[in-house]
Amino acid sequence: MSKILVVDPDKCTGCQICSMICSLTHWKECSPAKSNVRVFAIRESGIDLPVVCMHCEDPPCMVCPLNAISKDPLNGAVILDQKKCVGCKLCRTVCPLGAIGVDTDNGKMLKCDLCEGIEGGPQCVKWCPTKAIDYVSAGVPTLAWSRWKQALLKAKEQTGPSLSRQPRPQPKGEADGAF
Amino acid sequence: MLLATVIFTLARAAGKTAIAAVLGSKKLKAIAVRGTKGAKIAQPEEFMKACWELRERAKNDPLYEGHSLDGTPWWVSDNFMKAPQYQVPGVERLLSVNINKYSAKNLACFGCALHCSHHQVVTGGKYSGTAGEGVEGNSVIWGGFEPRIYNPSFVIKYHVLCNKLGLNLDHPGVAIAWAMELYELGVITKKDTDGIELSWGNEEAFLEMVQKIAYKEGFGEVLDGFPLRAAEKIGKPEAWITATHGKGLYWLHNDSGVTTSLVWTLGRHVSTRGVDHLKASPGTSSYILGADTLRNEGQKRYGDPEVLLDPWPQSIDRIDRQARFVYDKENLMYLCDMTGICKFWSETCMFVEGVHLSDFARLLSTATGLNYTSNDLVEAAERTNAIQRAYNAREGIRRVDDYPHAFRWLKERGQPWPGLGAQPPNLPTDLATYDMILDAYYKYRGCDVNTGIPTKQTLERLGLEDVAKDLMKRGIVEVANEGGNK
Repeated sequence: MSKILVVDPDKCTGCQICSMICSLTHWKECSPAKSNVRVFAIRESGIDLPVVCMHCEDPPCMVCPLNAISKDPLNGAVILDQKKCVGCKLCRTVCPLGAIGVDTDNGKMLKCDLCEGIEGGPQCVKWCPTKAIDYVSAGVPTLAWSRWKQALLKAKEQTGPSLSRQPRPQPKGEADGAF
Repeated sequence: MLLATVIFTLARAAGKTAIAAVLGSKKLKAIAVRGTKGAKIAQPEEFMKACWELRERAKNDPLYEGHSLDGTPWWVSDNFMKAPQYQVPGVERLLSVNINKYSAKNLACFGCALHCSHHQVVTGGKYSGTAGEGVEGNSVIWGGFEPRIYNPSFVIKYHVLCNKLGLNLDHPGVAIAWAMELYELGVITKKDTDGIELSWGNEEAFLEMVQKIAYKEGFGEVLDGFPLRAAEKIGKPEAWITATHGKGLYWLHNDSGVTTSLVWTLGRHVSTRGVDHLKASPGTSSYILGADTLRNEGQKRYGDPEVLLDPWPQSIDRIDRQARFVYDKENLMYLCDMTGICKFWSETCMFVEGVHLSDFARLLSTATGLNYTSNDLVEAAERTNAIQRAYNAREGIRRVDDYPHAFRWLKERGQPWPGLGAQPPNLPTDLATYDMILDAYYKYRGCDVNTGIPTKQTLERLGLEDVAKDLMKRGIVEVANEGGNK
């Protein structure tokens, strides 16, 4: 296992581009319902949480009675073979993250395959505007590091000039008061 | 209620023209939609490539970074406060950086990489506990500048309250500010306002009034009808002077409608739904971009480097080019509305590197598999405008309704619009130039110059024969054509 997916809900804006691009890549259609990434939002509280398969080391979903789910020894991806799947939904029941969906067209299961065979790796990572979903080396403590950095910068903000939020360049207005 | 809006996703609204009042009159409370199917894309690879390229290109636009991080307050309200009437102490508290101090995180609408919206949380002070999405430049204008309340947490409170009550957030702000102006002038008193002291900057009175408007209680019912019905109810000359409008829709109260920029004045007032920035909005380019960029773009698009810089031109050629500019911008706005592409992504906002007309054609062609050209899209936009203008014509809207308030006043009453209170100084009063650009605009739109109604030929060229027939049956189009021949 060399690289892992990392999700940071603080960075997620809830735009759902990940779901759109996932379904577009896999099924040639824009359909969040058929995506392997689902974004759960509680807009009243400003919470957006992308849920994606974490490709567990010991995947509970491999309980599959028809052995439709297997683990790729090279990149650690847990792959579901829809040809073998009968749609019993056992994998969905046991998944601790709720990362397995149902194909609304044929009733079989849907699951992230780390964009196997697609150039550029996981497309949700490539397209995410804020890097709320990232695909990084397993040894890099990204999430912890970004949280620590935020905390440090916030502390610095109270004592000195802010690094996190540089003042934006002011527009160079020629015709002031155009309203 | 005349300012009811259709709210969706908690904080986004179809507002301004009281469309929800129409739904309400049909006893329709809400529509719940949940989708389980997708939209098939005809050429997915090409479509994804087009989306990716447009997204990366837009990052080079001068507006991208500021808009993406701080949203519309950055380029709307930060520029708004440069206007001469807002040079007052405390106004800097409404700068976007001060408003976004309350921002917990950026939010995006569905499928948008620009994420210009914010989740704002107020933790402390009078409005502690207020939280909600999406304070826009307009919330700052109508909940800050207009009632002269220079308090960023109040702006958030006002914005969230409007969303909760289902109000169009522009309307209560401008109506209450208008009442405040009348109150300060002594035209209305506490007796009219149900005992509320509507003085400038009074936050409590303002919030109470918003509630009253929402529930149509007492003076709230009067303000619900701003501008024309409210002025009628108050019935005093000062009320008529300050309740300014275009086609019955408000902009800022006590605003003559004329600005320092001719294109902006025209763009606002030829809007088919009443004075509005969402149908043409040519102003963005003139007050955000630097002079060099505007010269380049002017030369590239219209062969005249000064066309986008000249605020109030006098030469007929340049006036014609500016009319063309408004026409182009308006077409783009119609295309945004038709395709569902955000106006902020398009050239409307990101003038230099946003989605241009040819990009609309590319996106539509790859997504649908039909071969759209730029000309097809312009024709579709023209058709939209023609049918809206034809509808307006049927309801009695004519050339005089495309005038700014002050010019209309002059035309109808034969004397200049007096204005009251704080007026922006040195505004043009040049009706002749406005008439010239309006004529040029009507020619581009294929409208009769005397009435502003689409001609029979225009309607037939756009495939709207049935509309032409209907207007002829009512005697509207023939009148227009006769007028055109004189």
